[in-house]
Amino acid sequence: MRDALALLLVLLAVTACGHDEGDPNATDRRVIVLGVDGMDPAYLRERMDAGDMPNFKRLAEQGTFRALGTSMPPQSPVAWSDFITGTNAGTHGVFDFLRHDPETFEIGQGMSKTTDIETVVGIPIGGGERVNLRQGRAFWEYLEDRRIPATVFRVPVNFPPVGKSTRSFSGMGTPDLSGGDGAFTFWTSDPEVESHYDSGAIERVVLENGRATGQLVGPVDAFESTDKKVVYVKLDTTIWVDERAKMARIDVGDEKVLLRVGEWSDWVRLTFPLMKPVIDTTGIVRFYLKSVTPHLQVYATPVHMDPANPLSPVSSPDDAAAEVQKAVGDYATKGMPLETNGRRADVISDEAFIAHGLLTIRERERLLEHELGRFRDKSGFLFFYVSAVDLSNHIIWRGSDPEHPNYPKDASDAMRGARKLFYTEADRLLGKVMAEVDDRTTLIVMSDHGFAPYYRTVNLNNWLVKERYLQVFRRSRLKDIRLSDTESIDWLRTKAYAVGFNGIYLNLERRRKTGIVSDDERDRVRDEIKRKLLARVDRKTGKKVVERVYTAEEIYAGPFVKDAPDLVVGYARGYRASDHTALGQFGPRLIEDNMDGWSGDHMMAAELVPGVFLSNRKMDVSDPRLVDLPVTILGRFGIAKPEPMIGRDLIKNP
Amino acid sequence: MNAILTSLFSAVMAPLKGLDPAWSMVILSLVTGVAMLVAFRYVSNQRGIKRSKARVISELLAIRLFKDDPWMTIKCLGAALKSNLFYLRYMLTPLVVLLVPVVLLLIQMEQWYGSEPLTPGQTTRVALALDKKDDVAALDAVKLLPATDDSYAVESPAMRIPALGEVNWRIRAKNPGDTVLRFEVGGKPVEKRLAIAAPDQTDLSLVSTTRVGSGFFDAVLHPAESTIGGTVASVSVDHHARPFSIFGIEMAWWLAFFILSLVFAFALKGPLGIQA
Repeated sequence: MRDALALLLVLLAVTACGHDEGDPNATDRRVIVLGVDGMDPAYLRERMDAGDMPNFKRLAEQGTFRALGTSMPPQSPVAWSDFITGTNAGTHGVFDFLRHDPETFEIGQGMSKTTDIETVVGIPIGGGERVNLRQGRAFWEYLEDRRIPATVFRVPVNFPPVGKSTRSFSGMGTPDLSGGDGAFTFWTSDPEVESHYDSGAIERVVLENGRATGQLVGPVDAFESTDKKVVYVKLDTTIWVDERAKMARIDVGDEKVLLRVGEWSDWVRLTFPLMKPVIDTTGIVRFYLKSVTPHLQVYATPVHMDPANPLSPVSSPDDAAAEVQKAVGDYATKGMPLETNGRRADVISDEAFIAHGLLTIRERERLLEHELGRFRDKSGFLFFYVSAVDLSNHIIWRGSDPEHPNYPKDASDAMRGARKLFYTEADRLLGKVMAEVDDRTTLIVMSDHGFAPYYRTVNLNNWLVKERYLQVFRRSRLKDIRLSDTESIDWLRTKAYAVGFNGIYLNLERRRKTGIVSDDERDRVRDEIKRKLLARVDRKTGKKVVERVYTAEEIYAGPFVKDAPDLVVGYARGYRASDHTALGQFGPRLIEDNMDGWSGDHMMAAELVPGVFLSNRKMDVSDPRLVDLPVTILGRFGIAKPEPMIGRDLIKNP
Repeated sequence: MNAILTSLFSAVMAPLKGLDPAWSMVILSLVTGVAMLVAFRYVSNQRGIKRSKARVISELLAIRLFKDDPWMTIKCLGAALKSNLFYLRYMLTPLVVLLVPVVLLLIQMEQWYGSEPLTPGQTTRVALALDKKDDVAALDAVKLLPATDDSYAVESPAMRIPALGEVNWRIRAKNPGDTVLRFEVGGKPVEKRLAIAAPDQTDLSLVSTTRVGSGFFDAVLHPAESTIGGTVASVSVDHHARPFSIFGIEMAWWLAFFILSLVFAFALKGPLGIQA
């Protein structure tokens, strides 16, 4: 009887504690994480010292401000996967923005993929679902195990969103309605408009009697598409022009949108028929009227999935996205919501890009207010993601950097001040978060990586050809070929090739059918390439091109190391792999000035682009890393570090 | 006529507009179902309908009885079809008679269930169309005047589309309440109702999307405001369609109305002793 009573008391004590450490207050705690993608610690310090960031300064003075060690490579999909899983790419399997098939060199997005559509006599019956390629458990799943309420708002690499009891919203990696990463439409009556950047449709229109007609691209038409050809559902679009008023009316679907020159529209909801008249889907889009004279020029953003009725789930539970839409109105669902592609294609101006960025950050502010309101006076976890600092800095960097080869000498004040502007906007958001912080709340502000200029672009495959690691049959035609051209590449003499933004792969016997490098030779070839890369100097600048080169085994551990690039290249500050390299192509020269609108970047050596870590708590560790954060968050709720995680708890004090 | 019908229907909706739209739809459908049954009773040949139905049934019984006699079966089948045609003829008259009030009712309901009022901060397009197209001078003489009650702001200049005979503006709703858009067309004043509701308003309200210039059918289809006359073909304001769901199922409001009123009518025709 006495034993039974003792057992009962023990059981009661365990139940009352509810967690491993037995901290009775742990589940009453609140943790808020504000994730500001791409916030750079050096620039943040500069702005804080200049007095532009009062909320960040107050938080740093109250608790902790440190540079945060990032992933290698410091690419958002890799870094955020490190944050989500508390592991490195060897365990979560996300090594790059892009993934490729080692035989065909077909390139795909690195975060998620679409399964093949299954058909019976041409009628689609299944497949076509998106699958998240990130492996391992997200840290909020450990919170779910303890029934700790959590909201994770638009964290990258979370599409389709993961979560059972967690309210989770997908972020970077979420496609637009067409299933792509963001294809804009640009209607122009100017016959001379061309773009070197292929990420949207430039449709030439004829303006006659104040009227032009075109089409807006929507979702994939599953009935008309085949393995060889993708067909999209399109909506006829009529644009009416009043040159005197400098206005246009865009008639698309059932909607009529009035715009003045230089204006962005609100979100416009459109219905696309998938199978007339039974099945349709809706999407949302913004329009921008660039000019009506001398040429009509109208820009349409990629069509986002409608948060009120998404074609694929953008939240978990499915109806959470619609609930938020009902409360705050329409909001962007595409992973990267700023119009970087339109700017890179030079079909919208820097100023139009900045204006759109501000619209997006205002929208994000409304969403933050909504989530903070839901979280008020409750315990649990809230993560909120801000993308605008990262995405804007990619484009606007050159506006405030006279050393950049693409520095616009006649830049507007808006362009010159844009970098500071987006940081101060982030400070305003932080102010709203700090207003909700009480004694039981741990606040963490973090970024996945910092930022650096992107002055010179490196065609790494050209270098591999020059050093004879990559053999092509006709070197004079280099810029016209790609790794997928089996007739152009001499695979039986090729030892290495580059694909993705930081990766070099050896032509291993065990990786490719025409592989020639054995496992015995692997280390020797790697060491040789590494040595040569580190010695490489840019003839134009006299600077080192590469800061660090890492082998996969040095920086990764886990079951997916076998899929990792054999070498991960950490470029020096100002250098980055070209888009040609990432796509398994060759450029016209080995190293070129970067004259693209995409003028700032971070895909360099991890040591050069750390992120930020700020907290209202004092920290015991001087060198925090991304992988420490999930361990720290779980620690706040009294959850011991789970087995696969490799980080440390940064905040020891309760 | 339009004014009377709109006032009458507004009076009907007055006690219902505060309810959940699904419940007000159930009540309207019930009342309509009963009213249609009663009207049907008086405009239809009840004795003829009863006789036709009885004959059809008797012929069907005969088919069963004489199933071994092919000639008899064919004869009974022909007689059943003939009685069925009579039945359809008896139904046609009340159907035609009832069609008119049902269409008028649907038009009235569209004013309440079809569109959402604007909410403060929302932008929308206002369009004034003239009868005559390609008359730039006439379009230049059309003006939208600023609001006198701070209910809306005109956000854009007038955009003229001669090919459509239209002038468009973008306005932003500012304060809730029923207000009026004021225009000048060739120096003459023209007005159009504008409904702006508070964001948290759940009550149904009358939303007139279009005020027409003239024409019998246009006037019937847009009964909430009198015709304008003169050179104006129409004045319209873009509103979002009001989403409608009943028992958790999203559907067009008119489809819910048809289904519910038919269900009620079939359920009540027996108790009310009506042949249909």
